[in-house]
Amino acid sequence: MTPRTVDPAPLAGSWINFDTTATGIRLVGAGIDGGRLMLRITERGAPETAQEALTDGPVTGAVLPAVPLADSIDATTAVAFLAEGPLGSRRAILCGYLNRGLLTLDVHTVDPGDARMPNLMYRAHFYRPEGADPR
Amino acid sequence: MTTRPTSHDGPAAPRPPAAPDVSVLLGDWVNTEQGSPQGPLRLSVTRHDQGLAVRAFGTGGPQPRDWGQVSAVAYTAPGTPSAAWSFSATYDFGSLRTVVCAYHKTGILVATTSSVFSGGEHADHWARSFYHRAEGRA
Repeated sequence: MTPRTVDPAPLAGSWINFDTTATGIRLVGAGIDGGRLMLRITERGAPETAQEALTDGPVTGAVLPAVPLADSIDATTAVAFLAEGPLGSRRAILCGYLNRGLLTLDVHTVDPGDARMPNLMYRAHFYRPEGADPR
Repeated sequence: MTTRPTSHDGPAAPRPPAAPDVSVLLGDWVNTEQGSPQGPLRLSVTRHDQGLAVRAFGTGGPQPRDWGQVSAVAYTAPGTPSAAWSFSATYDFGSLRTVVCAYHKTGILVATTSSVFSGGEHADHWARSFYHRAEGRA
């Protein structure tokens, strides 16, 4: 059987964190590459270039594959995504969903290399720079 | 992978200094939509070793009615390392993988359930659902 494809198009684009003072993810670039949803993550305070080797530093341009998710087993249009993978030295689970034109992101991180670092979860809300989308 | 630890609720064991307090997450949580629920019908969150275990119960499709018990990862909020407010748990049903992420807010548990198929004719899908404590509606 062919898996039912979920169209990731509603998720695509640039998403900017409403909270200009918060630490954490500042920008999410959601692109479609060969049918796959890819997220480019920029965190606040990020240095000029990617710093993947830093153990506890911010990361610019980390790229994570994401699974577009529909709102039911029979639907074909994405309303959410699940992304799992590394953000620098941390393992991350990102649960994002569209909510009246906003993207809400639940960010879960674990730093397996540093037991002193607590596992963190925070929520952030993002808008499209080009304006509200009524989806 | 689904595991079935033998330890369940019991007296709170002393926590090592770095382990956050998970007590706000513990208990039996009931989906507020029992008629046509999004996500599991019930979540049972218990202590497991130094962390958490979650057992989920659904409606029987596409997951089984009893999802089994798995270890969960507890998370704290930034700036509050002593208290957990969130967890994630991953279920592997073979051709279906389901990730449950939840957080506690003002007495309720808010959970997102992401279900990803490795084949078949179903769409990968997502649900957001709300839970109250079972004892909260006695």
